[in-house]
Amino acid sequence: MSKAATADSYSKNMLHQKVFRTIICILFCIIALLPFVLLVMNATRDSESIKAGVSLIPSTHLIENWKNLMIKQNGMQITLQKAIINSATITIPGTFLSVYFSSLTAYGIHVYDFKFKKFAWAFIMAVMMVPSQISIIGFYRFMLDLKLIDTYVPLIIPTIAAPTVVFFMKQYMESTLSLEMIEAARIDGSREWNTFNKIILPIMKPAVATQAIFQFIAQWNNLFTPTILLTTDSKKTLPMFVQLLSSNQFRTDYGVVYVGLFVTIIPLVVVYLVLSKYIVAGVALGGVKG
Amino acid sequence: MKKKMVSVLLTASMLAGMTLCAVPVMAEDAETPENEVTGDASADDSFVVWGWNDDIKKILDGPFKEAYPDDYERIVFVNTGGSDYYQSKLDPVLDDPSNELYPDMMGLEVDYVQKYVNSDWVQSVADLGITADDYANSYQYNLDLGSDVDGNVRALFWQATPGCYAVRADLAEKYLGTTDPAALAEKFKDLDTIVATAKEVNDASGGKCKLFSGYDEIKRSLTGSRTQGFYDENDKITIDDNIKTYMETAKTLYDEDLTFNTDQWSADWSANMSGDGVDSNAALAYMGCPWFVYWSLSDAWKGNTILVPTQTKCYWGGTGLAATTDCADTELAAKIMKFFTCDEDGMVAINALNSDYVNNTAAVSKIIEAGTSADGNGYLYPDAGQNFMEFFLPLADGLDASMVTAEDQQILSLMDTQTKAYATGEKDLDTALADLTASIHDTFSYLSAE
Amino acid sequence: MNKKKKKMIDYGRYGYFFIAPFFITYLVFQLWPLINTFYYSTLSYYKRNGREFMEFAGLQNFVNILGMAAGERGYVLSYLKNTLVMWGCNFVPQILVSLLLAVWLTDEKVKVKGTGAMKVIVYLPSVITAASVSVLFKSLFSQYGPITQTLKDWGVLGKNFDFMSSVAGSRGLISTILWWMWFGNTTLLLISGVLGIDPGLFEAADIDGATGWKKFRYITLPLLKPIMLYTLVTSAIGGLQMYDIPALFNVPETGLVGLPDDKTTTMAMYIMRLYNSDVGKAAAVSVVLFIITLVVSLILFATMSDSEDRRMKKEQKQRRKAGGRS
Repeated sequence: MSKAATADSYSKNMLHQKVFRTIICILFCIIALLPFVLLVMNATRDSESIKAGVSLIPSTHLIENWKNLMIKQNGMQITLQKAIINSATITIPGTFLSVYFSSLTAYGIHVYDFKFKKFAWAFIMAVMMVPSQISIIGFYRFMLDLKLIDTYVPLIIPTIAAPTVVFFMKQYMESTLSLEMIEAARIDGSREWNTFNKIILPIMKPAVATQAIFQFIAQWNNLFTPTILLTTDSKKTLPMFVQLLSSNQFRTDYGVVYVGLFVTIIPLVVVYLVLSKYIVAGVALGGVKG
Repeated sequence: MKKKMVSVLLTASMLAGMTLCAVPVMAEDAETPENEVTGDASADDSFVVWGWNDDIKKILDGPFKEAYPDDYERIVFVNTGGSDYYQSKLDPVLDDPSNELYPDMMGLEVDYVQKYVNSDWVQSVADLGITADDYANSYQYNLDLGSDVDGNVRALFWQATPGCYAVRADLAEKYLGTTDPAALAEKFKDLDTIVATAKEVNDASGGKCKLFSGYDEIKRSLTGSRTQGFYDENDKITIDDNIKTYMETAKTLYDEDLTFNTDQWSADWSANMSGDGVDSNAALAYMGCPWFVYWSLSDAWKGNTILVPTQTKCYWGGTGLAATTDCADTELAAKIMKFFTCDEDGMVAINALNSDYVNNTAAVSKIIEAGTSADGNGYLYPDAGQNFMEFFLPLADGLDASMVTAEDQQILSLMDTQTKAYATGEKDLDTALADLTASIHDTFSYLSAE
Repeated sequence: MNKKKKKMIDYGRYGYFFIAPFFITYLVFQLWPLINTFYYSTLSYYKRNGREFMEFAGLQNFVNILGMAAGERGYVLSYLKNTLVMWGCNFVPQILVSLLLAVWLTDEKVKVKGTGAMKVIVYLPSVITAASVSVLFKSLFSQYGPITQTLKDWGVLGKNFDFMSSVAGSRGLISTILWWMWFGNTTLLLISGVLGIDPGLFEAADIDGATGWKKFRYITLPLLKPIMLYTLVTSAIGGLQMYDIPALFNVPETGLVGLPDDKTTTMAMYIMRLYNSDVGKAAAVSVVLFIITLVVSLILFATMSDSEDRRMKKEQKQRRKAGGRS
């Protein structure tokens, strides 16, 4: 065989490989998207045709299903819209608190020298892996004693202590923050608090943004803790509303269930697609799963 | 390329979202919402009543309002929607009398009424000024259900709930060849006959129509006629023979493919109510009782229902009314309770509203004499010549609910799990029964397995 | 650690101010409840007919939930098993698929088109509310659901097959959901791992004429070990807490029993079932879960700190191996 022929068959082989791999990768992409497609399609179909089997052809019942959902939930103490507002009421301050105070904590440990610095860092590392679900019994009884059950306080305030976020922020500071800059700020007469708020936080923007997104998603999707803490229907969050969607109250109409699910995932899909660049990069950087 | 795709996706989903939100939403009251608070709970003199459906509310809105229009204005009704999670919503509020929605009075279902009458949450009816004379016409089994362990009556019932099978006349005509109530009763006279009838229907319809939607249609006839509770006076768990019989029959029905294997109250169970038995699946009979007929049957059953006694006398469901310990107005509580559960005229009016079989023998006689409600709110099949109240009269007599425990609702659910595991062949009967005992003990650690 | 840091004794107290909110919050809302949970686990503390009964019980709750006393079933062990089976059946295919995708999507030689879009797409499922995903799959695969119906029409499933009353079917679907939600996340993690490998290693191997498989076997795989271990442990800790998906998937309305036959009930569902009615037992289950999580975390720390030291040595060793064997 001549050298040229080898090279030719080599590149042909490469091409085959490429086509083969692309097909498999696309296949996995299809798998990732298929349930969403089925969801959207079923949201446009009526109950009877949904039961008849899978179809990728949209139908015309979307608006009718939506109206039925509105009628079904009309007068219930919790509606889809209210649940979204409730979730936002908890998640937005929660995200802000966790990111702000985690940055503050990481900054405190990174920049200052004090006696318990090492201990503090070791402590944060140690509790990073302890899931909060584990202390839920004590937490629930404690909140019961404080009369904070059925309020949003125990869902928002504890987000101040988010060890994984602190960990991530500290790592980021180690690679980007120069202490000289802080020195310079001090010489200019900036107070410590101001330095952090006015100078450091803006520098930390990329890390803050990434962690904010992940915190938002994690808190938005939380089901376990709100289920234990919230008892009044009108205070329920979106994932809890989803639980209602799957109950017998909506039993008579499949189309309603799908259109309801469709709306529950829209906010996240939109947020994700807008911010996908940061999120995809952030997964690689942070690598910490909720 | 990537950006383009993302932006296309984004626009598409946004557009979809916007169209959805732009759809004008009319507050149609064609369908009553299942879950709501009606009335102003923040008013000083509000009187809060809890229930898990609108059964109580309809009576308040109808006959009660007519009788006591001023008191009616004060009533706030909380509908939690769904008996299955009623307790988990009710209990935290009962522990917190300062809550605006703390019930002054509440509806309690048979499967857990015993928990509440034995708690510190409810008052005895004697404290409300209701005497034994007032409820002298009540069925005894209902009084037992509403009494605590010391025999103090704390909850009263407005309906009696003798069990029956509701048979769809058009399907019976087609697949069993008769609409004669007596002939149909023969087809349901014992469990073996029921299995045989199920085969007959299945064969005649080629599997499109089955006798029952799921094997659990026979559940209530067996659990509602037990002689033994789920535990004895020493809190030791006991399993009645009826449970075993139920599991065995369920397995037969499952193995021979004689039902659609749905769960009661599920979407598919509902759908089988309206099928035609030719193109779409349909069930020929459902476990029923007076409230089931007017509350649960679909339109396909209007003027199309024949009632058949269950193979053994049993009760199914029922709602007790109880006033809470911190009830703000015991006078009104007593008034409502008397109207619902003692007052002959009130109970005749309830029957006129929904044709329910009321828990008052004198009122029942009156209704039968007057000949009202004969067609069961329009559900009964006219050609069968049945009279709704007369049909239930003998069935309501001599019902026994002394075996009902505070934990029945959850235990029955645990039993469903084990029944399914046995029916589908996951385990044998002895294992299923042993597992049932173990899971009861696990859920209620104060009940002992040994 | 960076030794260049200057001493700033004057400012030290700010350190305390800055970390105070975190620590106060953590102590009040996490540590104190955790200590309390331990305390409650030693009580017999349950409700009957709305009344609370409480007395000291020592380790009796643990003896009971582990099935070490007569008449006790040890449900915590069966629920642990359920949890591990469902998690394991998702994790093995997850790591395999992710490995494949990670290697292919980073291969400089055989470039797959549209890798950017692919990354975005495969990660999408993991941001969606697990509750919605669970209900979606439940509706699709229920007894008379569209996918079940279509599979029956095609003859793939028997006429009476029902995912919801089959143990393998229900567990399998829950594993599938977990896999579907997380394989994209793991793929992205492994991609960052592969990109972190010194390209010089591959170049050296190329010069020595190593095949794609050999490069994978002797360079990529060993060097990905730490990140794979990390993925394994975080996924295992997450898996042990599994709640949203099984709790919404196949349970009766009356309570958190994972059907069929209690075979899809997880530890977290057990805690949720008991938290109000049997405080002592629920606390004991939490403590058991805590101990298991602790052990798993310790393994992570051990391997993580270990791997940092070894990485340099290993890299050199792998370089030699990959070059030498080809």
